Amino acid sequence: MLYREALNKALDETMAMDGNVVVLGEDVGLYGGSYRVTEGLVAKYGEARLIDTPIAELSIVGNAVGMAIGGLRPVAEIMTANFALLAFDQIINHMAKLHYMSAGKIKLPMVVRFPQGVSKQLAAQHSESYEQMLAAVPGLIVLAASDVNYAYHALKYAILRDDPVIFIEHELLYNKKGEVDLSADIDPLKARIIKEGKDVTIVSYLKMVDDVMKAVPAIEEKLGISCEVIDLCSLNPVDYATLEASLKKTGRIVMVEEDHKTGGYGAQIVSWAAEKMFYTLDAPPLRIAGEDIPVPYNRQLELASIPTPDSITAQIIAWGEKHGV
Amino acid sequence: MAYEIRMPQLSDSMEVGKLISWKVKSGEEVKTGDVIAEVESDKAIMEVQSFKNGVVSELLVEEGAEVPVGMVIARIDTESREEVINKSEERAEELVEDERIVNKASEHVSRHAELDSASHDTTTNPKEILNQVQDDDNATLNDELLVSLVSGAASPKAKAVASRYGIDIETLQASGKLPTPAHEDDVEAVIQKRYFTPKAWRLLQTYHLSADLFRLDRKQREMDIWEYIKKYNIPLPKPLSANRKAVIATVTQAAAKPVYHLYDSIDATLLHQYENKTHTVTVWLLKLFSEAMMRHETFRTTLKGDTMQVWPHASISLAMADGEALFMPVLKAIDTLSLEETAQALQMLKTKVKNRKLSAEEMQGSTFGLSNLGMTGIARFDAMVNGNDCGIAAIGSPKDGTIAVTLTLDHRIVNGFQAAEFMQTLKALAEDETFFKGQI
Repeated sequence: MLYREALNKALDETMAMDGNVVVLGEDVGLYGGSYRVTEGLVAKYGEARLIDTPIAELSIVGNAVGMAIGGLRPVAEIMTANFALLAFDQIINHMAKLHYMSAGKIKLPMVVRFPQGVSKQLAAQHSESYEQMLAAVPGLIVLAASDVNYAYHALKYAILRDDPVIFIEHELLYNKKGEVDLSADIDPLKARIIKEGKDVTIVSYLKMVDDVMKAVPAIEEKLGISCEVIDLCSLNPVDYATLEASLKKTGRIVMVEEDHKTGGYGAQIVSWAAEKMFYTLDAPPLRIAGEDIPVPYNRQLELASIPTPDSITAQIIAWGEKHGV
Repeated sequence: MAYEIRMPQLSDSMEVGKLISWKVKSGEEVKTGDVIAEVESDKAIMEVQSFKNGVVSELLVEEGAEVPVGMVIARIDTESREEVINKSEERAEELVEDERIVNKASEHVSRHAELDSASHDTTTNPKEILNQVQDDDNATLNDELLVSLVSGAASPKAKAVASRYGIDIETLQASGKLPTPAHEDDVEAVIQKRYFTPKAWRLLQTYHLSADLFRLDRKQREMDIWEYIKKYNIPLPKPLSANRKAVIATVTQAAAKPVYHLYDSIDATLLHQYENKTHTVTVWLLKLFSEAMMRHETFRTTLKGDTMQVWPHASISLAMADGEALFMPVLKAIDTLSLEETAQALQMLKTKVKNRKLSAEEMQGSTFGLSNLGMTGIARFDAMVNGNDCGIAAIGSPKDGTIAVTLTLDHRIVNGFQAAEFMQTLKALAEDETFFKGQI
């Protein structure tokens, strides 16, 4: 099953299960979604539950907030994170805070989904990542789906949970293939240990997880070590327990993210390691992240501005050799 | 100067230690390496030693008391250190050098401890200290107090280990015995080289024993470690293999199923008459069960959510052991295979089990299982239902011309009466020569 099909299945099943689940966004109905995530759903559930909206992100999320207050379970699709900026007032001031401001009287069982990240030559205004901003907003659960199976289970969880969830996808993951284990008992708030190892903990999320996995064999061979690879999955709350257990074993942490390094989300993970795990660290933490520049349009420059399997390999090997890994 | 001895952490899981007995009295003189007390952790009893020469000034804990890791249990006054060192001049040169290094580290530690007690009164109530330890997410109180004054360029982890064992990183780096910066491995190598023979060190690692369980005043040999292991009855930790983990998951799941057993035997005459090198008893049993399964659809049924699924073919999961590993590969659609093909399929799975080449796909798709211990002399046993199967047959050894068969069945899928009917079919087939002839 493809990543986008897994998301589609999650939507389909929750819509069948609960008549209150509605999907709204640009072209989610007749067109089947910009990335075909909602394909076929309008034929099944009708235009009342798959609502094609105007190109007005603030109103998409605003309407979703209203629907959630009124008892529906809206799933709002924003075409990309870049356009979600227009909806940030609704997301941050309303979606994240109304439950708190109403002393718990108002519940917002809603999801805002969008893809983000560098795709292929979409240029600076269409290649951004905003997990760092949203994970910093108390009141939001922020999930990042790197894996087909996780995407299915986590989206179902997000829709059925009574709290507001930001569900982040990646533009290059929609056609990723994978198995969905329907009977798997997955806690979407727990980090996934994708590969066990004993010398270095490599933490990542979203598309970078795949790039890390591509880099790992060369790193292990060159440094003669074994790497543990962890997919954070939930960016807020963070499953620090899994990270702690891993770091106690390896004593070394590498954080890989696609977003710009300054103020990037990985800084939170590394700062946690420095604050809480200082005496288990046997090497300085390494952060691999995108350059602090607007993402270039030129393909060569675009690739040079973000981590790739090759640059991840090179940086971890150089760091390892310098710090006695 | 006061040198503080703290409750050591002897294992990752240790949070409190019980003070078994004091080996020194207040006012007594101690030398580096002297045993101060005996302490019981969650795993073993060990000795606590002094890393410094001096005079015991205070014993802060009663014998028999439980004390949190990191709490000060004794203070040693090190004023008379020079005197004590003079007395021990006859010790080997190497040892004296070590001692100097150790003492230097300990000084750092005690200096820090003084600073610490000057800034706030050291809590002596065990409960309060325990709370402190628990308040700290990572319970590294002990390390934090000691580490920052171990000088030399080293990783935080290396410093934590060095402070625990009284290793002076800076001095060793000056003499080229430690690299700059030093990492955990480097410090461990120093501890290892100084206090353990290579064989002893390996044994320590194998048994997951901490180096500070031993008196670090001389080189420990392999024999010393074995003695310790036997004396304190330390088990050999064996990590679970992937196969064992899978078996545990499967049998734990199986144990939760509502099963019952049905005990009977089948006639072995024809089985023995028709068995040969390629068409073994197991091959024949697969054919017999497959035929019986085709006649009883409940044995081709699995449960999925609130639906029963009846499968068109007889696919059997077969228990295969190889060394300590156990697998349940599936022989698929045996009803469509000839006797020869069944034997070949079985042989192929055996090879794959041996080479650990089974795919996940090859361990799925069965509706019933078979476990044959006929070659072992076991008269009768019962087996655990595998995966989604509706049941499993446990085959015993031939005795007096019959073979014991125990069916373990999932009552959600197969009722007792259906099981009895299946058993009757199986018995009849085992005695039906036309069935055997028809297969060849």
